[in-house]
Parts: sequence; structure tokens; C-alpha cells
Amino acid sequence: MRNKLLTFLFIIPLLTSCSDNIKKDGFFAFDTRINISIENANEDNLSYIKEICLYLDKLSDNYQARDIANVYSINQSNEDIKVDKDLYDLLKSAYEVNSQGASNFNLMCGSLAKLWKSSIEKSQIPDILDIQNELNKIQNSSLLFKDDNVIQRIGEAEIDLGGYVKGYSLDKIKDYLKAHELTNYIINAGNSSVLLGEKNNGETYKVGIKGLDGYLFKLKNCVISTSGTLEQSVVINDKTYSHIVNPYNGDAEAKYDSVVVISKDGAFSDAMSTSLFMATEEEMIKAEEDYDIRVIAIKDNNVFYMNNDVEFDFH
Amino acid sequence: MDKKRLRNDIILIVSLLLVAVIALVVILANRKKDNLIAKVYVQSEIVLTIDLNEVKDKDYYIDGVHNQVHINVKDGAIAIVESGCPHQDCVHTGYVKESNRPIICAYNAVYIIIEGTSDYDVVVN
Repeated sequence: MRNKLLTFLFIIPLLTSCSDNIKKDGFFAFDTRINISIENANEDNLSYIKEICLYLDKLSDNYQARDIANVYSINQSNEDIKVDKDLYDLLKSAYEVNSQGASNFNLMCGSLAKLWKSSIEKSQIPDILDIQNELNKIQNSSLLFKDDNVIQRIGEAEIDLGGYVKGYSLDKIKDYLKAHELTNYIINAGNSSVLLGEKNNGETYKVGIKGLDGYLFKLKNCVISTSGTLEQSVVINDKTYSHIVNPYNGDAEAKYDSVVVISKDGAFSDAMSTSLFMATEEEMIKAEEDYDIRVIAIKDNNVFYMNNDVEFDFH
Repeated sequence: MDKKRLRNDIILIVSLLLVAVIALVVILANRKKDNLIAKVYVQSEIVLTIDLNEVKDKDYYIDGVHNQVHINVKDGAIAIVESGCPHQDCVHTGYVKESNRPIICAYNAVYIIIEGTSDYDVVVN
């Protein structure tokens, strides 16, 4: 009896230590830091995920040319450009997400966003004529998706995938992890797009939202996307302006501190958080009814809107 | 005789478990209070490890990918106070003293994270 009990006592810590096999990695892509934490993964898994991110980062770069046709290349030309199939698919899905629910998301807002960013850095609002000029460019621009992965940009508006590509990448990573039967993970793309699996006992992860002290959300198997004013914003005459611009009126006044969207689909989640950042409460409710998402809007460090079925503790 | 032995075994096990639980509580309580370690990365390399409780007010200068980055530690919090990056998002992040809230300067590939106990697995912003 004593021997059995002693054996039992030794087995408990042994079993506990076996369950803690977490691989971690961190690197820079999409103008931020990507942190990976996966249970039971190997080095090949981590390397592949890094490869996916760095590749999509290269394709979506709108600031410089790379060794492959990318968004920068397309922004420099109105000619037909043959691109990699991955960029073709990425741009097509980002182009179409506007008509699939993210009505305030427009990937052709690149130069308007740059105008606001440079003004915000100087704590200024852009000149109304410059904004109108950019809006005219957006209204007169489009992308043509032709056969054989050829894309042609019409007009002068520039593509910016900043509000989309991280979520899109998380979807690719999610598919990869599923194919490799890895279920316990947190893939954190700069804390603004986060892919969650589940804990090894099937339980939820504990998620906090910056600016919303005391709330602890219990989430698993989803992507969390945020759009907000915590970075790249300025207060002028008691109004907060952010880098998130309205493609219809060119304005960048922030109604909320941030908008968080929880969804199964990272690309859609990213686009919706941008879109709903400019939305009313009624539009948020409608979006939840129409799509499989949950929305949390934060204003003045408090919950402005949240569905009752979002599971959280207050502590 | 057997009954007495069994009772002694149970007392032994309960005592051991009690000691283990007390030790765990003491360790966790101390970790929460004392172990706030800031790790500063450039790319994937840790270039600085700072115990935030030990440093009162100190400046650190590290070489980022493009510029020298000026870091300050004050009153248990850490901040990037100067960086040559175009958007200055890292500087605007301000002083951070909680774990799970990173400071990121993508332009210089600098990443600062405080390691310590947290109520959260991840914090989004």
C-alpha cells in the first residue's frame, strides 16, 4: 500500500510536467512584432509560420519594392502586372470584403491614409482640398483582376492592406495548424490581431483589452481584431483623429477609443473592426445579426457597446 | 496494525500535499510582487534584461536596426523615450509596467516585454 501511494505521489508531478510543451517564437512582420506560442509544435512548424508571415509581408508592402511584384509595384503603375497567385488572391479578397459586409473598409485608401498619418505626426488636420483630392482619386480608382494572375490598377488611388493582411495571414496560419493537428496556440500579431486556439484541456484563454481595465474575456478558437486610437492619433480642439480614415467623406475623427471584433475568420474580422470603427451602435448590432461576429466598442475607457452573450469576468 | 499503517500513510500524504500547496502559494505571491523583468529584443536577440524593481531611474541606449533607441526605466515602469522611427508609435506607447503589454518599434525591430505573472494570457489593443 505504501509503495503504491509513493508511486502515485511521484507520478503526479511527472504527468504535470509532460503537459507543458510550449514552443515560442517572435519576429517582425507587417510593421509590428508577431509572437507565436504553440503547444506540442516542432521547429519546422515555427519556421513555416514565420515563412508565411514574411512572405505575405513582402507581398503586401506598400512602401518599397521587393524582389517580387508587390503592392508597391502595383501602386506605381497603371499597366498590367503579373503577380504571384498569393498576392492575387489576397488583393481579390480584400477588394471584395467591402461588398461582403465591411462597407467602410476600402483598400484603395492608401494615399488618403498617408495624408492623415503625416498630418497626425505634425499634430495637424490635413487641408480640406487635399482630402477632397484624395477622395476624388478613390472614387475614380479600381482594380481589374484579369486571367493568369494579372492585376491592373485604374486611377491614382493607392492600395493599403494594413487593415487586412494580418488577419488574412492568421487565417493561413490557422489552416496550417489545423492540418498539423495543433490546437493549443496563441498567434499574436502586434496585439491588434490575435488568433486563439484553445488550452490543452479545451478551456478558454483569458483575454484582456487595453483601455478596459478589470474585464477578463474568456475566448477560444477565434480571431480578435482591434482598431483604435491607442497608436497613431492626435487630439485637436477636443476631437481625436486617428489613422483610420472614412473612404466616403475622408474624415478621420474617432468616435471610439477602439472597436474589437471577435470572429472565426481573421481577414473578415480585421476588415470589420476597421469598418465598424466608423459605425453607429445600430450598425454594430446589425453586423452581429448578419454575420457570425461579436463586437465590443470602447469609449472613454468604458464599454460603449457589447452583446450580452460575450463571456467575461469582471475582477 | 494495517489500519494504523494506513492512517499514518494518509497523514504523511496530507502533510506533504499541505507543504506543497503552502510552498506554491508563497512562490506565486513572491513572483507577483517581485519578478517584473523587462526583456529588450532587437530582432530575435535579447540585448537587455532589466529587473524593474531594482532600477529607480536609469537610461539605456541600444542600437536598433536603423537608429539608436533611448530607453528609460523609472519607478518600476519602462518606456522608449526616443527613437528615430517615422511614426513614433513606440514613444507614444509611454511607460509600461504591466506584463502582456509590449512596446514595439517595428522600424528599429525593437520589442520590449515585461515578464511576470498576469491575469491574462493575452491583452489586445
